[in-house]
Amino acid sequence: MANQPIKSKIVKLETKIDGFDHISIGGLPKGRTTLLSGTAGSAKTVFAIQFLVEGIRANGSGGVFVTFEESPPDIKLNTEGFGWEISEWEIEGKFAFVDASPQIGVETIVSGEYDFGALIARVEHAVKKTQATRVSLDSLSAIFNQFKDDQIVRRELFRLVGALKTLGVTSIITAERTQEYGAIGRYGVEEFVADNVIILRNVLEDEKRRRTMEILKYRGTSHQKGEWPFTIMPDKGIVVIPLSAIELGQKSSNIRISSGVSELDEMCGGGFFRDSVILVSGATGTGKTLMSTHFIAGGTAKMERCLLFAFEESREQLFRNANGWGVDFEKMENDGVLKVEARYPETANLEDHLLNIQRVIDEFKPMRVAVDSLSALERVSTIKGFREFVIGLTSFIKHREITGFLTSTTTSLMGGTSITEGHISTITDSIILLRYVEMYGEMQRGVTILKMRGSMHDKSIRQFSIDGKGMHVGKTFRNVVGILAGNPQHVDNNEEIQRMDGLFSDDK
Amino acid sequence: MTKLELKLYIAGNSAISRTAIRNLKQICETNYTDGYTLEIVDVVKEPDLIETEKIIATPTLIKISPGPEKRFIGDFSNARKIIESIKIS
Repeated sequence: MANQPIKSKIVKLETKIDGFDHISIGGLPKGRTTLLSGTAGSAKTVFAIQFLVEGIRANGSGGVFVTFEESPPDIKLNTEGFGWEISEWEIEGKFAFVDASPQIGVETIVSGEYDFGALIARVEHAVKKTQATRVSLDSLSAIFNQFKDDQIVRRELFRLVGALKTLGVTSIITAERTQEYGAIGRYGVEEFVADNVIILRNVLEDEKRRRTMEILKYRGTSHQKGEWPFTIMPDKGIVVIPLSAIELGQKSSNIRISSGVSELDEMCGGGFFRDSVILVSGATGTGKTLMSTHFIAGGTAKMERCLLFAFEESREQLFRNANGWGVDFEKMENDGVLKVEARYPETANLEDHLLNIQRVIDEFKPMRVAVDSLSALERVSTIKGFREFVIGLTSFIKHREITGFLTSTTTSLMGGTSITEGHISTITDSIILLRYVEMYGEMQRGVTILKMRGSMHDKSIRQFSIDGKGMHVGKTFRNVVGILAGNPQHVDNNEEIQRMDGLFSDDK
Repeated sequence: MTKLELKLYIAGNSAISRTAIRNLKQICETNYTDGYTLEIVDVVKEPDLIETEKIIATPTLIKISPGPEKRFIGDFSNARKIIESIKIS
């Protein structure tokens, strides 16, 4: 028994669908059939066609699309927007349709025993003609609708899958399901047809749609577990967002960069670290946009390229604000050191925003990136989706070894935290709090460094003012307590203050 | 009276194919004594032909003439059903 030969391992075929090969640890099991199940509108057909398209694009391997539902002209029309030149590939002999869609206008009478011999012959013929290695069948439910005898359909589907195996092609069969969570397919046989099952979901949560993909079963081989968010890009098709690609292996740099405010640099012990992510949190109007403006001005002053993503204000508003603080965004853009991307959060879902941000960063290659504000994006997503977005964004920034400056708006004016902070505070390197402080009938602003990873920093809460030149950090609020809790109170006990001064002094 | 023109698609020399041919010939011999044409196509040998006709199941019988076109899927074990729907006037 000891020297039994090791059975051949299941090899995987890289689909080249963005992100999918990562979550599937290498792609689809080669030479096998995978069931792709999902509700109406969950992008099954897109996945099935894209699987063939990426094969043709990657290494010119042929693809056969067997359609039981839509006619080939309809499919071509519907996928035109992705830039897939199916008609051309058809002429080149790399792509073939097997049209098994219902024939409209022809009366068909079914009676007695029959099989799918013709269909199998057509598929085999198309595979040989195009030398296909990839085959997609769309969809199982449609063929059950066309032929009423479930028992025959079931038997013939097994034969078809057997024929695909003999041909040695890697294939996908789509199946419709009625619920996002529940039975895999409608007919109760779908999962037995294939060795592997992938589920596409399009879940409605808090009035927002969220697409996810889950590999439910890969017989005899491994895959990542759980649901992975994905999106459909207009010029690309399906893009899976593999959060697990994120590793905590970032290098960390000792190079300090300026925040754009000299007093703040001092408070941080000499400035921010080059490859750190900084979170600035505060109520509306406390000066978050101002700080991001300084952060950018600090970079452009050294001719570093800076990128600003604005989700709260328009370009015009931002430029006017910056002008008010003596910063000329327009000139910076003309000099090519700044790029401002202003968008309403509602223009896209969060997955698309993330991919867009990543694309712009890779195109512009900045040294500094500011996002103002992160919390505006909370509106367009579920809590879970937002958490994934924040992790995806921060890790991307860190991997590029650039400085990220994120702002977050707290809901309460005087203190408290936002959802954003809850998700992000542990993965950011530095946290700066901006707070309103009520002082004898006057609103003042306070700033403090709550956390600064890998560095000494000023622990005091400093008062600051804003004028035509921007932010000016002043003295410490010595005789106020409870600022961070949002409940400032004045104390006049000077002895206590002096004692405290000594207690936490960094010099000792 | 229009002559009956039929085309039968079968997949290889299977049991179903043989039953279908036998049943169909019997139906035609007894019911369409005025004459008919029957062309038999083996999809395994001529897959290009069926691609244009978009045949899925076998056996499939297409009644070409008299129009309109009608399709029958099965082994023709139910003769009456076929005869009723072919109905040549």
